[in-house]
Amino acid sequence: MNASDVLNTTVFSGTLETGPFEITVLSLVKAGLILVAGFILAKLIKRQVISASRSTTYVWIINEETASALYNLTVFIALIYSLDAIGILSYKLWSIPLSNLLTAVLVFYFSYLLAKKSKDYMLVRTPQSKLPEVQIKAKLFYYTVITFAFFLALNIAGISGELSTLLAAAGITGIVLGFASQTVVANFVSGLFMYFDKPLQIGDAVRLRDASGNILEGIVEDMRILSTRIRQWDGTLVRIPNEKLFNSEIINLQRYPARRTTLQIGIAYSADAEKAIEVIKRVLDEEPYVLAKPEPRVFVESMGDSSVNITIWAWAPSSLWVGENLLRSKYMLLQKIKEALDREGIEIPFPQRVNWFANELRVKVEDS
Amino acid sequence: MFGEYKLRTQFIKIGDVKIHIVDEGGDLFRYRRGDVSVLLKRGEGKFEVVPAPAEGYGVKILLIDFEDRILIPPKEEVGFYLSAPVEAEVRLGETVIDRFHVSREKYALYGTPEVGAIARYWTSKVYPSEPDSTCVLRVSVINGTAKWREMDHVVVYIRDSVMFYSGERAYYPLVMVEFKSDVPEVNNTGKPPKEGLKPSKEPLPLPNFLMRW
Repeated sequence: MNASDVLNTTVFSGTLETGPFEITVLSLVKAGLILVAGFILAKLIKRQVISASRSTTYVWIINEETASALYNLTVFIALIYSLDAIGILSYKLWSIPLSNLLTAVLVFYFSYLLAKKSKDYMLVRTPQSKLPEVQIKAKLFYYTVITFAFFLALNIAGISGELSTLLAAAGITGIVLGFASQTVVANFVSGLFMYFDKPLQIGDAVRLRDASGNILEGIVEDMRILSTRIRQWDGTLVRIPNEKLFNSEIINLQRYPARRTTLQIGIAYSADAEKAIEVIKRVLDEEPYVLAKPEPRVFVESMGDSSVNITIWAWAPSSLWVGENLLRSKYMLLQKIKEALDREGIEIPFPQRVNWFANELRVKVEDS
Repeated sequence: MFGEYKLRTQFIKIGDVKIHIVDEGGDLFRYRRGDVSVLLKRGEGKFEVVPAPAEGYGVKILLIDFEDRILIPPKEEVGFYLSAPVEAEVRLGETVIDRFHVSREKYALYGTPEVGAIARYWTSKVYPSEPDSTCVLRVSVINGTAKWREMDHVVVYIRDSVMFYSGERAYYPLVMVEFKSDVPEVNNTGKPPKEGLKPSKEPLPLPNFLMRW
């Protein structure tokens, strides 16, 4: 038996829907060589891309992730060619030709890579100030491409027809599932509404009050399709379903550049209110983060049970009147006002009550 | 005041701020200003104390209110000086080791609460000649319109602006205000207000500012 005969020896034979089918030693060798060449080429490409990523400034595209993606892609294409060499691409799995299935996988994988890289590119090229809005747009773009690619891949694989039948047949199941997944849909739709309504953006400091009156405050870290993540001032992360967020009262603490804060100071009835106002105004004038314009206002607001209540309306930069910044703005201001009033001898009274007794009070002291 | 200093035991005064350089023995010097303390290795290098624009906690614009309004006739020009707030930057080569306020720190809302911006705030007299203050801003106003124009404040874009200095004081770059319409346009030219001044860094082009309010 010569070499030619060995190569043409049949190692497997059978019948497919397309006709008789056999695998020869030659086709196996071809397939093996294609696979080996594919692996070598894939490794070379990966190495080149990784090497280029160390010197390029376009790291967002030329990086290890891209290198791995190209590696997978090359191996996958080599696999298709090797299967073609064996001649089993016409083989059917669940009555779908293998070639269609592999093409569908390839199309979906390519689309996924394209969507992911485009999203990264959008984020990298965006200046910091516009990042929050672009982040949401990039995510919407990503999910749209993935969804289209999914249905396109189904169509290529020839499943779409079967899928429609399946969906139609599963109508009742769909309704049941619809009820079951209404929370998911509600969250998704609320997320979309919030995107267009824009009550908050990534990076904003917000205060949320839900229907039960619970208050939550922090920085918006991320807005996703179904939920929004808020980093509270104590460093914990809260995930809020978009539906719940949409129905909450949202106070955006940093939408505008300046905020007016209201502080109340009680002074004793015996103290000189005009002098106290002068002292407080002086402190406000010296305090950097109390804005000179709009001018702060200080006035007697009410006569309390134990004190004359002085109210301060002071404007401050919004970014300095939230979270930990309150330590150097609000709380520092309160401390300075207290110290200034103490220096001027203006008393801040304790709550006190004078009791009158209808009959003379007799006190009996017993020896111990 | 502003300028280059050798690394040796000394006391430097920038406005009311005191900087101490103390020999710690061995190879080390200590830079100290209030709570800020940095150890520096002894060497031939000098350190610089240069003026920096009064950006404070990170604002982009400086608003100076005039104590007196100034009126400019149609098609005429006028030049004047203002005192201005300034900060100081202590640098060793390219490295900034300290930055502090030399003037009073105060801010104001420029514009409306909805669309305004937080600005560094200062009030100044309008001086016909260079005033004796820590920092000076020279303003040149051109009234290109056919009406008398009134100014009671000026707003200058200062983020990343170059500054100039002499042995005595700091200077903002020359500021040109041009009335082409009812809204004056303010240009931080990046150019020295007079000759013989040292720049704090390479000047960068800065955006013109429309004074809407």
